[in-house]
Amino acid sequence: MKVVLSAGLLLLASTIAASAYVAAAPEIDAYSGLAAMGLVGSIATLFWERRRKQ
Amino acid sequence: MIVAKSAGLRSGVGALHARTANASPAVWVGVLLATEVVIYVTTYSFHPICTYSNPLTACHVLSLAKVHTFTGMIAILLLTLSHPSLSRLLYAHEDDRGGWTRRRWLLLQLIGFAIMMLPWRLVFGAAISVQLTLLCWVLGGTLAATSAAFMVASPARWRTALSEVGPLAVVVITVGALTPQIVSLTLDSWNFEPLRRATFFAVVNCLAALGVHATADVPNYTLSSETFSLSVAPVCSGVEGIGVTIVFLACYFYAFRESLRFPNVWVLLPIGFALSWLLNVVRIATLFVLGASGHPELAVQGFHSHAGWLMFSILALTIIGVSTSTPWFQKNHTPVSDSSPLSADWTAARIIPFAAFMGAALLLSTFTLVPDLWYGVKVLAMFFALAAYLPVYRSRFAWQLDVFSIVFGISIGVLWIAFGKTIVPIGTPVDTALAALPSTLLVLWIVLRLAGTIVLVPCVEELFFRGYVLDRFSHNGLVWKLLGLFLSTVLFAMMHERWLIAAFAGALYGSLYLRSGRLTDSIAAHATSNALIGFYALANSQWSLI
Repeated sequence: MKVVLSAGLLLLASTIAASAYVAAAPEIDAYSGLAAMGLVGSIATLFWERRRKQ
Repeated sequence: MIVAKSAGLRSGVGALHARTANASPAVWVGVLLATEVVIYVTTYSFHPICTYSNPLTACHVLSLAKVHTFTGMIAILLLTLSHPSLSRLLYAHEDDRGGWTRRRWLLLQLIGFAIMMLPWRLVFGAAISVQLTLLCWVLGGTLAATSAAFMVASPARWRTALSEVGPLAVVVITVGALTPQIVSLTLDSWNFEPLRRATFFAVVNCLAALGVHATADVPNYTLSSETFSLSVAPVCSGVEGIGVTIVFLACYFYAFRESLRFPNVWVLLPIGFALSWLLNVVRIATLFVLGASGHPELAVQGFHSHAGWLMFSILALTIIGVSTSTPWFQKNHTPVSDSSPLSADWTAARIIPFAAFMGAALLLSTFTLVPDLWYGVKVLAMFFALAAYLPVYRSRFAWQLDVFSIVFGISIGVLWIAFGKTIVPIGTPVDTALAALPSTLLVLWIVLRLAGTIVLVPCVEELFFRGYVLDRFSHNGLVWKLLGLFLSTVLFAMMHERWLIAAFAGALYGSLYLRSGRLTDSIAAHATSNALIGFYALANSQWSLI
């Protein structure tokens, strides 16, 4: 199952990247994306850390 | 007493050696490979193969070769991490007796990397053919990758592990390497007409419910008012959001697999898709309202490019919040809120100010045309987040003047200015906007900008990148410290447009922290750099330099 998920993740990530490149989608701004990843990633990390300490 | 001290010193050194020696070879190899990848990518970015006197098609072939190799490597990494037979190899400790030693494989690995770097123009000083370049990359890459694998575990162990995996390995690696071709074939799926139609009609109904007048041209998927119109293109149908949601949920399920209850959490997939689609409808409706109400520039240049990420953040945080607080999604029934208070949590004290900073940045980029003009909002977000944890910082920090910190800080500041003052443009939108401000507001903006840059940003960034990320790796030996330094530096560099010099700065700030164990040293260095840059920007009215 993990392998299937991993392969799916790879395909989807590549598909999104290809779509953004080919369509030159203006709605995908790189720096906003980094800010969003920073926000979501940091909150998810906080939850993970507090779960780990329990 | 003297004998006891010597014994203690010997056991301390022995423990240090044991901690370093016990680090799996996979960690060393991972650091080596990551360094080589950075060198390879950086070299061929600054000296692109396509500047040679080769036709455009040759450039395309070489670029594709790099992409195929990259996706193939990612597939191999994912397969290794996820299959027990292969992931056991990453934690193996073998002695070097019998067969080749790790040193010999290291030598071969470095030779392979050197072959990959041969086409670099400065070595030959002349153009090199596409065929020879591809040959160097394929031969050198195969030698480098194979040798790296054998540095981790012997060929016999790899043979045993791969025989347990079976034909799956070939399938996964082939699919990974051919991902660019698969992507090309599936691109048409982005033009999913039923979803586009559903999105269009949902936006029409949403605007009608809000009492916003819009003329709908259904065949062309266009909405118009007297002064503004937009078209719902195929890529706006919400399929991108669904794709990003799948990627997020896959990462989330994997990271939280120990605490999430399967199969219950699978229901988050359709919920996530539905929420993503709904938020996309809200995004398009809001875009139209902004444009039709006299803000077309904000709608097209600001909101349009950033709202998708804001919606994704809302979706992701909602899923995290609901799944961690709902017992039905959890393996044990203790919600996160039952742990130690958030207001006194040292981990939260290092992470939440950074999250507040990122959230403010995202909101400003979505709802303003010139985000830097509203820098005060970021200052307020950082200030209140830091203020909430002031008692925690007071109990942890002991400020001490360190000469190295000041010297490093000044060095970074000088480098940043020296390399930036000629390449950073003058007359940017923020310069134009500032010129139009009344003098009182301009002074207020400058005070907030400098306060944020010199005091708050160093605290926020050092607390997260060095205080949390680097610190997470710094208690298990030298190899893990280097890995933590590399990871924190890469993440820090990604947050800055001038990533190369930011990486250098991050590495120096991280080294200061590892040297003394005091976060205040890296904060002082970062604040010193930013003070130099901030006052230079003030003196020259070159705010884009920051």
